[in-house]
Amino acid sequence: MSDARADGFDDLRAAVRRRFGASAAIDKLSVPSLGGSNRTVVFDLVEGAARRRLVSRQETLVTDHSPFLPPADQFRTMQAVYRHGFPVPEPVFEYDAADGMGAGFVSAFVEGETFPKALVESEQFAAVRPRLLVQFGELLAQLHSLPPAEFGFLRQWPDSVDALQAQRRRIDHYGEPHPALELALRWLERHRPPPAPAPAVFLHGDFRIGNIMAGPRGVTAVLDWECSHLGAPLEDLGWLSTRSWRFGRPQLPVGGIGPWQPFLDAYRGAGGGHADPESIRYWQVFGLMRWTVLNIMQAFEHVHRGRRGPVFAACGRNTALIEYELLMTLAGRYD
Amino acid sequence: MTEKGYFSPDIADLLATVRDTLKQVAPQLERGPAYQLHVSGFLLELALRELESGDTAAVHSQQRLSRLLGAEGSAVELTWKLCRALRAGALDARWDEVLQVLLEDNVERVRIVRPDVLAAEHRPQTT
Repeated sequence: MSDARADGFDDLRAAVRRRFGASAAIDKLSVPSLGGSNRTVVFDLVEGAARRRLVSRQETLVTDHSPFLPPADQFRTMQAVYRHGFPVPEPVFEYDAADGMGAGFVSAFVEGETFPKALVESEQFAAVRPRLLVQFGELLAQLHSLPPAEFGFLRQWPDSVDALQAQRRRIDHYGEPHPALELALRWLERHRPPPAPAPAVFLHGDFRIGNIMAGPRGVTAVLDWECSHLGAPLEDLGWLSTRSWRFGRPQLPVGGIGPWQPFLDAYRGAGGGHADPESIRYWQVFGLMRWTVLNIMQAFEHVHRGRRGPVFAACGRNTALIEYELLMTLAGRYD
Repeated sequence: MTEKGYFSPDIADLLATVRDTLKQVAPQLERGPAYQLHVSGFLLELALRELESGDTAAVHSQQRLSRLLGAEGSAVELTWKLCRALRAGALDARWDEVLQVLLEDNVERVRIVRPDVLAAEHRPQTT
């Protein structure tokens, strides 16, 4: 048991005891080093003979023009989708001022694989991939049919107001000249789909391989709700199929997992609206533009805000790779 | 012997040595730290390629943008000028030309960052 040690987790230990009683303990702590915008700690909550594996996420990126929801809204979003039976880790409690841990929350730990290479390429998941394709369609249809009124608190964030303008403002904030992004923004502006007759739907906002956890029977949880917003349903479909998220298998548009048809059939069959590759293409271009902006943001924090690390440094140079895919897509040479 | 042979290994050798060491150590680590080392090795590969190419990409970019915009200035000045023109829609009528220039510019950067991801038509010629 780790209680007796000065292990740097006294704040977490105190936060747990405030909610579960003085005899509650934490054990088996681990700090995964992957992840860009949160400090994540996985631990056992021990109450007498009972143990429960939990995950703590504390916000580490607090910045103007952040593309991420504050943890309070992430927690509220997870509570709402959990109530509807969506496979999301159960939200357990949110940190408050008395915890002195900044913004963050604790949720249930879910077993499963998120490593993209394993899901996309490994023999272990070969038999699961067809099932994943169908589940991706069904899960997105389920999310897009949730009552938007339950997510009214997201309307205040720029991505819910105008997804394109939100990205443009971030580009201006980071202050780097990126003509490829300006070209894409111009294309997106000139090819904007007509306003939908229906109200904006709830979007996960980052539904892609890497944020979807799977096991031998398929999806076990959908993670990372920090980009959720209201918008056009095809935005989620475009993001999942954006070329950068195909992990080296560009011929398989649905996340490098498989072809369009089983996914689109499942989406429609589960109540999703009409979707076809041509109408999704607009949101793939948007996705490449947005992914470039997110990488610029990570490099900006590395160079200007002291949030140092090789992954963040690499993000800055990786913008050239994403812009290549963007320009080749705009040139009609990539689909 | 090279001109700097008395002060060897040279900088490319130093970077390559660290890169190779990271590659040897990474498999001994858990997934998280191994990933950090993998990315660090990638940054060193990139730095080596940039060291070899010098300022070629920047010089070519300045020349291309100067021709496209019919203006003089540094590569950075011309890049900002192009961004403003694109946002204002001033280059809408020259869409294909602009796209081609941006692609040529971008390909030179990708050759530094990760040349293996380029389509065959953009890969460096090998002799």
